[in-house]
Amino acid sequence: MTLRRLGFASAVVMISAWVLLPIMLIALAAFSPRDVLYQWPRPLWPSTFTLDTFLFFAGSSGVLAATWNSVVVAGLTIALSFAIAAPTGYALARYRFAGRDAANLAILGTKMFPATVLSIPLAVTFLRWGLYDTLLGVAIVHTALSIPFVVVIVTSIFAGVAFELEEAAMTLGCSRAQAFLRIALPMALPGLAAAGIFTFVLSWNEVFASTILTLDNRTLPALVLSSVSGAGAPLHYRFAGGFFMVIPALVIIFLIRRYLLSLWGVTVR
Amino acid sequence: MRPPVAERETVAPEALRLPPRRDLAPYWLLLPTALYLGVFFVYPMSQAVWLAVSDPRSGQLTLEHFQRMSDDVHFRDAIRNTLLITAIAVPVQIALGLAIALMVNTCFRGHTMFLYLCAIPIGISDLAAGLIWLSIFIERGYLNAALGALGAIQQPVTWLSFERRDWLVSAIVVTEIWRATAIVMIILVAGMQLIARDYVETAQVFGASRWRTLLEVFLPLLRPSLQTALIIRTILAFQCFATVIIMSGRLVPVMAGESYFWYSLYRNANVASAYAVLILLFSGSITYFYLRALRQRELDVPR
Amino acid sequence: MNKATRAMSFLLAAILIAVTVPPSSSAPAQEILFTSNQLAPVEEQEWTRNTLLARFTQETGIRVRFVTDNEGPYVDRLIAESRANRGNIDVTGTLHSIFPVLHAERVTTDMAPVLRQLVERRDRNFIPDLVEAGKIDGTQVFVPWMQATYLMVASRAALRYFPSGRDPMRMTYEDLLQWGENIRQATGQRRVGFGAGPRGLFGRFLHGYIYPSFTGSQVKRFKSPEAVEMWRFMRRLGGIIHPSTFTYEFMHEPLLLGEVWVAWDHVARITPALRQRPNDFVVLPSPAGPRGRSFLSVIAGLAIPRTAPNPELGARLIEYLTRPATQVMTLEGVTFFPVAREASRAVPSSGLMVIANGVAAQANAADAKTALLPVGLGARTGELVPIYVDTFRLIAIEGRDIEQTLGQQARRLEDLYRAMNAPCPPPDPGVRPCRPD
Repeated sequence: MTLRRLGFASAVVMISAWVLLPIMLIALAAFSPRDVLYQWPRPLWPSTFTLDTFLFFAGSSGVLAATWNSVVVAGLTIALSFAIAAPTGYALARYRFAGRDAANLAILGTKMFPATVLSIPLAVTFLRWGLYDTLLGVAIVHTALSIPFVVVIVTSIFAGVAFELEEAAMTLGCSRAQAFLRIALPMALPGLAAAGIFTFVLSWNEVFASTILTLDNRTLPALVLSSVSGAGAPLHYRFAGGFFMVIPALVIIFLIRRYLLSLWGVTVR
Repeated sequence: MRPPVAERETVAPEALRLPPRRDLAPYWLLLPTALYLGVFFVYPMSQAVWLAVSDPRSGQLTLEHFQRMSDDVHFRDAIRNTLLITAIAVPVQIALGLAIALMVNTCFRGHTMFLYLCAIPIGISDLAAGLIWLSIFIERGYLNAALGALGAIQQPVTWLSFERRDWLVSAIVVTEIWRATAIVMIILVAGMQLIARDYVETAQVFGASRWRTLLEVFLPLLRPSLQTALIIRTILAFQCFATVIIMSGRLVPVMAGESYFWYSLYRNANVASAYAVLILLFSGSITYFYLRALRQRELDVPR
Repeated sequence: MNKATRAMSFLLAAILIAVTVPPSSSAPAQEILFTSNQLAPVEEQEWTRNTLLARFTQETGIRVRFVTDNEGPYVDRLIAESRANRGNIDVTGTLHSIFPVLHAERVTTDMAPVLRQLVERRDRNFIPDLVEAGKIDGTQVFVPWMQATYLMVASRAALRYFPSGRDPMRMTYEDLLQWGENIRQATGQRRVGFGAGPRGLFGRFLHGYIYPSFTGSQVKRFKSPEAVEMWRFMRRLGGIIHPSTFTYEFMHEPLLLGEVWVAWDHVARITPALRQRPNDFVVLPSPAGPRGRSFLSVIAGLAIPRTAPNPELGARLIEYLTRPATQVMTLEGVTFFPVAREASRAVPSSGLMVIANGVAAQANAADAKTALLPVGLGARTGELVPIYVDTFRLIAIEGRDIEQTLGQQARRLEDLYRAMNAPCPPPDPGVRPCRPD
């Protein structure tokens, strides 16, 4: 028994280390002075830490504004894609109707087309419609990119929620919408949280569309990736920029992590 | 319209007792998605697909771009490498993601923290992941630094070498596994929340061993989530190229990478679209195959 | 559920507020948008905004929004504006090899009137070759902005292994090979590096440096016997090139890391190494082959797009950027060299002396031969360099038969040139369409 628990514990430790090590590397490197990064043999723990690179990076033009832009775009994307895709997911899970399979495949099919090739047609269209260089425009594209995933995740979640529960609620006097809101939705929360995380990160890290569709109102990845890694910026900038970009994602995932596990002790069946 | 009860498939068995006049409801629920994707995705996509099959000057249908695509020196390698990387990375990601999800599900002390830690790579784009692991694998990188500090090697080893193509592919696979297992885990954890403890307890009451419970009761109930994770991961794996480009340049061509190069380097949107169409066809057929294979088995599982 | 609803509603409210509150649309009196794919690294961007363009604003009161991007998005945006017949970009600056692509998409306008106005000021003499390079089909599509070249850089420690009795400032390709061999024998490592990564400029080395140095031609003698000799040499060179060379895009990094001791790259991509450790590196002219010491000059030019909202203001920015005083400032700031004779005589500060000396040594060498980037390929400009890089991969890395591969790739070159009816680049005579013999 103890051997098994030891094995379990060591598995936990090893997996955590595997995940964390590269993250710690960027964190350490982002705060190391530039000479240390180029030293060989490389000291694995820098002798001094410095905020200089990080501050230079955070203070350089447009970074803070870009961060806020990214947050706004991600938030809009989540709101839009949930509003549009969640009902679809519910329909695909609950109803059996003609064309259901075709709808499933069609929605997924849009995701199978790489986004890089869409940039020019999209940019031209947006210029014509006055959506160019707006956060709403970027959010619209990000929503289009994330809808297929949200639909698929939400479908599988609602497929796992027993319909009998909603039915029971309806026999007790709730309307169908109320049964959905009070019974099915809370149970689907972990799934929605998962879809939310996924959508946020997809929007946050998306580079192509946001680069083409914005000039002034840039999102953070567009700014960082083009000036930091794209143009061959020195190592310390890359790490600082990379770390700076990862932080918000870390924060969001931290905030949402509880919703992934149902803490309400919902009794099923 | 609605087939009799006995013939219905079991994907959504609960959707049985709706009165006929509700038939329009699903269509209304589907409408926003259909409209939205139609305008903002299908329309630009059809323009791009048109690029793949039309001559830019005369506007007539032509297979010229597909021909150019297949004549290119990188074409066959691109298909082979994409399939290879997907075939190795995706199963490992599913298995690892499942293992982590199961571990989290046992609710051991600190499992929320463990969940959070393992979810962190989701926040890292494939470009960033490529750069991080590049700084680990290069000759004067962290891996050699660590091995040197441990005394395991005298001289730094060149892990990324044009003379060892298989090592390159392995490095890419490792990076992909590190980065993308997290999303599989998240989907599976969310799916596990919905599986009633009762099933597991019942099986145990009947004397089934842990493994049997796992294999024959738990996993089949997890099927929708497993299917979702598999499909999403495969589609994304076919499109990933930033990691590959960073670690191997064009020495390990992949389809999405070739599409990108034809588009941004050669400035030829037509052949780039041809590659995009190819990716669409590959992803589509594999997804269709998944859906059929997984559905068949579902019919056999008594509910 | 309550916690969740509250959190969600808060988030939604915050977003709605952020989006509906109008952006700071207090437009300043005059503002123009300047895009480029040069000056992209963070430090250079900051310098451009805070020094270069700030002075322009001080002088004229016109605010400049400067946006820089990688080539892909940069070009895409210009093309999108051209196709939509509506745009925001007032001035754009990029390499002369990209202008054919823009010209094919009707992004460019005739810059001859602007150029004439500048010349009439009589305070700047543009180098004639550079002005010529700005002509496509008789139209002057850009005003010369700055120029650069590619050089070799070596760490001082590596000089010890240079073949004895030979002069590094008059290096030949055989010397380079021997150098790399010496390093390998002494240390067991291969320390010569080229930027053979996806955005690396190794292709320029192949078609603009080593090809003319061995064959006297960039295209015409692609599969000549001299070329076969050259590829045999390249195979041997492959034995001393760092095996990770395909991950290198900007050589300052491997140089600073110490992975590479001898590198070849664009002047702007090695400057960061020289700035950080100026005493550790030397800049050398590119090597010479049997037919001379060929090198490329890269020109960046300024243009006003067809869809520009404020062309007159854009012209003022162009005037400022091409002023000799600004040109010297640009050299100091980002190591791009001037295009006007008056500024070319300015002496840069000590840090850049090393580079300037290297550039001068290369340009003034007795056996120097200027090659220019191939032009006339219009929208298919981007296909030229990969043909050479693929040839290198097939012959030197995968070890395929030289004559056969050259024949195959020459056919590709021929198809490309014939399709675009383009002339041969110098040093070849300008026959059109260009055909490899």
